[in-house]
Amino acid sequence: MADDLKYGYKGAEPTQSFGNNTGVFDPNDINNLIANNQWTTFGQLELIETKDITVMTANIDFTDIKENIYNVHFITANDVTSNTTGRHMVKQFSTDGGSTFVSSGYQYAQQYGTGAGSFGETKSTSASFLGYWTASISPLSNQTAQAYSYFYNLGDSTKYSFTTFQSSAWYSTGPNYQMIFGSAVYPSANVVNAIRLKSDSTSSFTGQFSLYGIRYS
Amino acid sequence: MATNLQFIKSASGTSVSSLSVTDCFSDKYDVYYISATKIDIATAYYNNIRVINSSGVDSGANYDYAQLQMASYTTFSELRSTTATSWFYSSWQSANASDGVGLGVYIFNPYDSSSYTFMTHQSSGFNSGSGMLGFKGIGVHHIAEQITGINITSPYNYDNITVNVYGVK
Repeated sequence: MADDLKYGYKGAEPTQSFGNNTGVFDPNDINNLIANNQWTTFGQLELIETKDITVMTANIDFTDIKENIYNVHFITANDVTSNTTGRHMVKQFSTDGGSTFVSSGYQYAQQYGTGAGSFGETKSTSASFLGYWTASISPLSNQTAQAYSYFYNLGDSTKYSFTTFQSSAWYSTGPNYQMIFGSAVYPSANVVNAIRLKSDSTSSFTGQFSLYGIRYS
Repeated sequence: MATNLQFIKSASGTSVSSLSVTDCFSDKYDVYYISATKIDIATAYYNNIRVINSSGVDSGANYDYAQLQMASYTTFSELRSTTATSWFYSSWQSANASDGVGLGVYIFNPYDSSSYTFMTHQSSGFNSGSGMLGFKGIGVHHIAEQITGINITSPYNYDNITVNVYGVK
């Protein structure tokens, strides 16, 4: 659309913002306004990528997390199985797009509990990962782990990167039903641009993993 | 089952001791998600939450909460009250601008005048010189009245604060 008739207006153009779009819009206008977070669309939990892992995989990497768009990310894990009994999934960050992943300097604090009545705390100020994201995982397909996690400030080079998380799982050995929740930080003011899901020890996993961004966050 | 978030509004403040997000609750949603990540404060302290009713910010002893304080550097603590004047300890706010915070809050039934207003929250912050400090908890505002907004408050000034509110659809 010609600049002298932008959004159907001659002269001064109306200011566009979420919930306040005024004028007549062609597809290019809409695309540009979406890119600028100025176009009103409802549905701000936006799927970035789903990984349906059907073959045992050691490292599940999200390398296009769109940290320049979203300040809050949300990730889910569903029907997760492990090829080794009793392993946990953990998370690591990358600051170079997934070429390497930070393996030291994380801090976390989390609570665990079991259906058999055992509760306790786990914590570290010098960890190689962002806490135990999932409860203990079984190799059996009907005894799986589920989990979710929020991430904050990954794309902000002036802030530390935080995460909170919760999980429940059933596994064949021990107290069977387990839950975990907790908080963690990568205490470095860097842009985080990739997330790795892996084992706390040697193991591989199957399951469905979905990464979302929360727009306008 | 919730299928999406719908952005409602954002509020920001500079050099303020509290931030109100007004008229963010309505009859369009029963459940709301609130995120706060961009907070800088003059003196390190907890971020506390109050609700806004028809008279304004409710600072009466009308709040209950129970939560677990989880630190990476010391023993965990249970925190609870049945007569609080806010939902205390929603998150820890460092005075270091680079530390930041990650706070997520779900609010239930705020606009229903026949129901109490419930909340759950989880956060991760950084206590400078010590380490990571997180909270996970529940809370209720035990007055059956219509709640239209929320207020984030601290005894100390926020240099900058931004809070976003979404409806859960």
